[in-house]
Amino acid sequence: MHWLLRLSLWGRVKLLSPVYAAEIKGLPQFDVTHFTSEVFWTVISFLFLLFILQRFVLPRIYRVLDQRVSKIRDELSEAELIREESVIVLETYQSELRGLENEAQKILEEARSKAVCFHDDAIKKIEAELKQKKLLFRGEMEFAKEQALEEVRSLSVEIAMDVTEKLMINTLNQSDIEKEVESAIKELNDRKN
Amino acid sequence: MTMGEARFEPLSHFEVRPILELTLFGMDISISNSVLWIWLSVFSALLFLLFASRRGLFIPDRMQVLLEMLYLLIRNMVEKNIGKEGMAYFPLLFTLFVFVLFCNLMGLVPGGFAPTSQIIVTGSLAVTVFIFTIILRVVRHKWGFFRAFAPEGLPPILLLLMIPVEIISFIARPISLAVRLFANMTAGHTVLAVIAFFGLVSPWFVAWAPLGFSIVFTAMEIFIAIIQAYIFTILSCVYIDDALAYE
Repeated sequence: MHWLLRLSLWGRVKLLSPVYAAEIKGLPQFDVTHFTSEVFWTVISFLFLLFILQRFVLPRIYRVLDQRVSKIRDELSEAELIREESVIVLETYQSELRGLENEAQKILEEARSKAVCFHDDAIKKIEAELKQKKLLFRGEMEFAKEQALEEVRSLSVEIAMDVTEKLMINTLNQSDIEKEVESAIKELNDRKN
Repeated sequence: MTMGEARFEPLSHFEVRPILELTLFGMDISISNSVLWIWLSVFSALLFLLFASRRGLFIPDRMQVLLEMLYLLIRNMVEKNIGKEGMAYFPLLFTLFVFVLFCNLMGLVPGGFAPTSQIIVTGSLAVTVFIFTIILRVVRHKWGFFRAFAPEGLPPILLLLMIPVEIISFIARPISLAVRLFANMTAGHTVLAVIAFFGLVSPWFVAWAPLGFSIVFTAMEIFIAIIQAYIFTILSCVYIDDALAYE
């Protein structure tokens, strides 16, 4: 550890002999012996540094910073132009979109009205068809009904004639009459089938 | 300071020792250890600044970012304190900041020497700034320069008091500028030297405490070096603004 401390002390402090220590009075900085040379070299060094900085270093920094500023300014103005263009393009697109929306709305309205028309026509058509079918069906029913009634009437006549015929030929008891009616109906059914 | 057999002089670090005796028209311009460290500070500053700015990249590398931060720090300081007009003095203020900063930091290099711990170095810089502001004020306001010491609207009896006060406060500017920087650097390095000496003469099981503290204190010294350079520059800004704005 002491070598580190010796390093940090190097050139900083002096371990003095008692005689030399007694010679030093006050701060050594106030010893005027070398003031002239100190002033001279301080001013010369300062002016030399000023000259080099002003001649070589500062112009380079000015140039770099100016270039950067002008490039940033150019890019900003370019970005502003692009932004303005994009606003115009956006407005164009928006107006086109609005036109398309209107057109779509119109087409939709037309389609809706057409659909309503088709719907009404179809209903009317179906209703007419139904009406026609209903009339046809009613006619058929009437015809079938009349036919059935006619059939029933003719059958009743036949049965009545058969029953009368048999009554006239034979004196029949109750069970025979029923049997005869049954056989007559069966016969009729067989004939029908 | 005596500790056992060792005699310790913490201020010996600030001694200026001539290395090469030189004269110019009878004027002493000897090269001393302090001058060498000023040159080393200037060389280090140039090395950093030229290296960082060598490529001038649009997308900066790390060193260039550091340099640009430094540049923007000083530019903002100038714009805030002087305004757009102050950009004419920007190179001077930027150089002042860099010079003081590197001189301060040199003292933290092991075996190093902080040129700004010399009152004559800080005084030279402060007086340079002071003379510059006087020239600026005289050029801009001509004889109005002297009216600055006699505020308008004061009763004549108060002028007798105010004129000396204004003159003293005006003269105190470079003195305070020089002494502040010199005192901070001297105090910091002296404390560091004293702590290190304690570590050196202590037994090994105690020495870790001063060593640890010296590390913490070195970090604080780096911070102080930056802050002091900033204060020196911002006060110079204020003085320049004062010279420009005076009515």
